Amino acid sequence: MGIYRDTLVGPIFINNPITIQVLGICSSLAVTTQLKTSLVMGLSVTFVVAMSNLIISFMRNQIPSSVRIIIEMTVIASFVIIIDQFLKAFLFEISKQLSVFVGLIITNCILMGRAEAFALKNPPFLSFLDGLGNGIGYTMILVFVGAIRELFGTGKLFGYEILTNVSNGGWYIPNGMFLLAPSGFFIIATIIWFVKEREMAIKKRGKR
Amino acid sequence: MEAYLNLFIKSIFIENLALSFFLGMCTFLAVSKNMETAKGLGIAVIFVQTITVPLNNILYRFIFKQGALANYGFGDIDIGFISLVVYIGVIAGTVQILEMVLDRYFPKLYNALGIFLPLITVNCAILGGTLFMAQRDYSFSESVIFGFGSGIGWGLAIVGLAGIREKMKYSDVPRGLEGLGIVFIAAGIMAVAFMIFSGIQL
Amino acid sequence: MKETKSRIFIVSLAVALFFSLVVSSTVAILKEKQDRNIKEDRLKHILTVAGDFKKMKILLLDLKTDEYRQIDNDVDFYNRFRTLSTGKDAIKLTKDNDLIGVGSIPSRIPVYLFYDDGGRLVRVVFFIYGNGLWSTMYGFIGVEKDLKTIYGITFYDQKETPGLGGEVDNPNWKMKWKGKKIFKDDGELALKVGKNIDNDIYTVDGLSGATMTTKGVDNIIKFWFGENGYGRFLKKLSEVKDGDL
Repeated sequence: MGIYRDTLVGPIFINNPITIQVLGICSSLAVTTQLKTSLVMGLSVTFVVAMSNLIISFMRNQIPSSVRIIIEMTVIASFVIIIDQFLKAFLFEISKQLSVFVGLIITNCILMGRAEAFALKNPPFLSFLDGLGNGIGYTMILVFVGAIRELFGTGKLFGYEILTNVSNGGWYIPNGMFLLAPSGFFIIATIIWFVKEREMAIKKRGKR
Repeated sequence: MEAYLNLFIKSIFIENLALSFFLGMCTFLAVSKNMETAKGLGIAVIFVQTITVPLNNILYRFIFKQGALANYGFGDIDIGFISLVVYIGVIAGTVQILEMVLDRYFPKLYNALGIFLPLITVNCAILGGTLFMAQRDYSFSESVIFGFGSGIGWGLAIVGLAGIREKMKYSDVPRGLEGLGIVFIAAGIMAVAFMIFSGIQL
Repeated sequence: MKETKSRIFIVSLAVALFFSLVVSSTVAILKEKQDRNIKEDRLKHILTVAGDFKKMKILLLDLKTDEYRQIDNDVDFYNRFRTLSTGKDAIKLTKDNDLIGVGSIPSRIPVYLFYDDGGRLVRVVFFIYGNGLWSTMYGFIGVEKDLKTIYGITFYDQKETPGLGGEVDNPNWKMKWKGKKIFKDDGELALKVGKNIDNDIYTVDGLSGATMTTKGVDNIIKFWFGENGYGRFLKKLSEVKDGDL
């Protein structure tokens, strides 16, 4: 039971794909201007990485080494197309906002990274959990960044006003910087800073 | 002619794939440690982009575009959804060929780039370039200009960041920001700088 | 595991076939819902600038001949928009009159007419589009039966900077348009969209921090209500008696 829990929970905090493994950065910057799009993107990636890990793990003993990468790409690309079609059918507004970035999930390093590092060497259920864990870890960071950017950039969360804007007779002047590209860089840098400082503090405590 | 120049300048500065759209970040952050590898990767990206965007454009216009199949008598069928897989296939193939050419004729560069050459396949900037081309419905010549320009833009960004990182080796970086943290901040500031170009209309 | 050529071939073929099947089935099953989404989304936007009405009529206006006829639905126009706006049938724009920066426009374009229960024309909705800063903005503008006063405007497709140019989609900004007049009484196109100008019935205050997007909107209005857009049609419309359309 322990190994299942570790596989699932590990990538959420200890081995987070974005802050520790440094994978999947591209989309975490572009789609996080709103909490809604961040959440949908995170869940989409979680679906794709869990499913592709599962399938690739099933096939791991049958895949000839020379076409390994291409087979992995085919599996990943197929799941991305499926989730893209689902979004267009059931979450139309959001899919318009995510535009090309759903397609770009194919190139999200997390997918290829986990397929190579885990799914090829581990049984299906475990690989599924690993995919799920990495997806959740990724989603967590995206949601965090998205919440900060939407809250300070527009005063809203999920479109609902939390800080009453000046334009609606309130006090908050939205800080447009948060909605612009570079703020994503700065916020993630801050998160990495916190994580690193905590890591160093823990190490120091351990030495004493 | 002017429209092409406009598109060229736009794709290098105003709509820089790395700094305005955040594409190709993973390799961007990993390879910019060192000027030489950054230059090598930048050139490789320019090559791949200039080849794959027009190639995919041909496929797009003759097969995937809405209504393209109507020309062959398959009026109703819209096969666009499978385009993603095909584009990636074209990109993977191009990178594979580039790898073989470099290995044969430019072995030093081949060794310097190492693992990052095959990683160009999953570089979101390359696929992103193709997807933008399809979304904006470029003509063939526009694709060539856009491919070349966006490649140069990305290359420029990575070389710029590598230069900054080399200079920062002598700076006093707070412990927690060492490595990845300060690189993100530097990239963020570069992104702000590139926003200057957004008001330019040629 | 033996890596024979036949094994590679069989595995690759099997994977390709299996996933083609799965993906194609998904697409086939979902396509109808997706098309409906797109159509409803568009209709929703048209209706937001149409106000109350009892009956809607769609006309297909030929921008080359100024003739028009009634059509049942506009689905074909939007489905083939790319081809219609850049193909051999499209109207090419010269550098001087291409205010919207698109190069060419479709030669036939839909116009939406709305009637009350007495059969009288109450509003006309026009499809408008043009370049902003980052993207081409597509939207609808509703005009009162005097063909001068604006009822409302909406942009259903744009990829401008979120929070800045993207605010073209903000209801508070869109509200500013209601009651503004496009044309002066003598027929001159007077509506201006710009920075800090909200002093009379012919001006709309732009979006703060979004100079280029605001200019884009201004150009869209100037183009589509000018000679190369719906200008001539509006003149014709004003001369036609209510019951004849």
